[in-house]
Amino acid sequence: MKRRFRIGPALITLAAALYFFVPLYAAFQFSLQMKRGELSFAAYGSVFQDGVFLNALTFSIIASAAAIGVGALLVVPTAYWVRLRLPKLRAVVEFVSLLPLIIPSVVLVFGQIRMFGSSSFLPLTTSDWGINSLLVIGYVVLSLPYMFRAVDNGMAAIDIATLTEAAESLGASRGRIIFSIIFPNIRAAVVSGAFLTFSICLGEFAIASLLNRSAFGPYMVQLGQDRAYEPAALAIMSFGLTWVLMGFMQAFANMKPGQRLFRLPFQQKGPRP
Amino acid sequence: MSILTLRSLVKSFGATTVVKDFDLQMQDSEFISLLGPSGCGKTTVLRMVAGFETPSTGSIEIDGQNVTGQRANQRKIGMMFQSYALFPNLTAAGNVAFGLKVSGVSASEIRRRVDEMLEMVGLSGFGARYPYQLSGGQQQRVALARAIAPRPRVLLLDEPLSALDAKIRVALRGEIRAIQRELGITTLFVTHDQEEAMAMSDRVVVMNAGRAEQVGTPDDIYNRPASRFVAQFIGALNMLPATLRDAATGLVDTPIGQLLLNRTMAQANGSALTLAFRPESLRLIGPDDALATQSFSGRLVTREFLGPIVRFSAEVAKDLTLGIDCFNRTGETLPLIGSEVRLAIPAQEILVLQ
Repeated sequence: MKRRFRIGPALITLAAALYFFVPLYAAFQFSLQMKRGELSFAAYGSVFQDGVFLNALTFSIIASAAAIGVGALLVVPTAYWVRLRLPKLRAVVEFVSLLPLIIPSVVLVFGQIRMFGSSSFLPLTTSDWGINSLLVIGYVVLSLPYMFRAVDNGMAAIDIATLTEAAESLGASRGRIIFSIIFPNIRAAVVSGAFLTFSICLGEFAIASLLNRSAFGPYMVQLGQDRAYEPAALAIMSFGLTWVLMGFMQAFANMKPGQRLFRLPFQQKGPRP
Repeated sequence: MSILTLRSLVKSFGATTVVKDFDLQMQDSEFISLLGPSGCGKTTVLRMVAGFETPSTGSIEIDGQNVTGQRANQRKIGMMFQSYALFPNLTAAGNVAFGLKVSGVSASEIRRRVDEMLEMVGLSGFGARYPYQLSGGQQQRVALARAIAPRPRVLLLDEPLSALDAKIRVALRGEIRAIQRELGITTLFVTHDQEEAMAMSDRVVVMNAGRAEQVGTPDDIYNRPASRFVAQFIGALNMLPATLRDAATGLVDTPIGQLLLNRTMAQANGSALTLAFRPESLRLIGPDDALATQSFSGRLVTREFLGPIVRFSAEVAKDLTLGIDCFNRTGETLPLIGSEVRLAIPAQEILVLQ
């Protein structure tokens, strides 16, 4: 059946696309104008040649990865237990997981500094590893709404109660069930949550800045104050990175067990029933 | 020897008691079905045996060991679920191997057992497939192989055939029974399908409102129901109100005339009774038939062709219709709707319900 072209929705889509793409294009074009009178990638080259950039990026990637690991280890068993044994508490847990969206991260980090300052029972702010831990914990809290929602949705898609019972009837312990059955079956959801966590943590400014960490967020802000063309180049690169991550998220979400993200020509597709 | 013993099991959820004083002893290699309508407590009994529910009171013994307080993963039972419950992230072989890995069986033994089990359920060569690459019947076969691979003490089947289409259901129930006999696994099967229970079981437990109404062989349950509920629940049943006229001979008055039950009745003369008989007990007879002495007439009002049998209903008195099942034999002409027919019931096939 031929679908009728509808002018109204098409115009709205076009207007929204222009609203999004025109500033992006303007930023991209500006980032190419570092050399007077010609278009070049000099601003991008300048960013990559900056040793501080690479250090800040590496630090933020490691901190984000740690936040993803800690977040997944915290959220997956919690969401599993709440769905399996405490379904009445789900609304409460969901509310708690959404609090970081309401409470500004400045409040969170001041709370951390007061709680774990030099005169506290656990003076984490007096050592480098302690401050790094506070940063990772802060990132975990910031990403909680996204990680919890992604994992919880992933669990809703599989019958965790029956899978748990099936595994228990075969003699498996709770730990084994979570790591051998539940984790692999919500892998796509965890990966989605991980990518969202990564994009949030990479650009995060308030916590990293107030904890005096040389992370990527504070670096971008500093660069914005000192330079003209490099921040535009960085913004475009951040967009590119976010889109690549969204692409991976989509690909992981649609992947079936046994499928590979990239299939080599000699690898056969799996059989169908 | 009794492998599974359930003593006075009671299970309550809040104020609702779903299993009441339930007792059962299962012998080694026995296949028992828990049969009953939805909400009768059959699945709760099975889940208590599995360890997924804790009895409010009573005890569960497996192989002489009290397992009432034991967790599900320590009970060494195998279980098949209605929804297959295969692990989607594991291949068919991975699913079958799961219980063996958990028990710490060596890798070479796991490989051997997985191949053996997949062959037993007719899925050799399917080991590398994931559940989503298998049909419903194949998935349930993998689930069976997975459940029996660790050699469980008791196999629990929670309506495993309900989600399958009719033809596969019949084929698979035969296969499950054959494998159960071959391996001699004591098996407790939950179903609401009487045909399945009758076809597969050594004994059937008919449950009603949390209680075992009758425990017996399929033949007992069908032909000698112990209660009105069992008689009505199992198969189709015709009911006829009656008044006892002569307790010594079993002569009764009914809306279709007098019937002689040929048995001594415990009730007093004048007692109200309910007579019950299966549709296949009612015979369409000719005038010379030996049963003609105890016959009555009726008019056929419906006719359903069911393949091997033709099911009629006949109006035999005002507001009283009875069901009649006749074999569909080649060359035999069966009457049409609206025909006046003579009907008879052999006295020994009439049940008297209290």
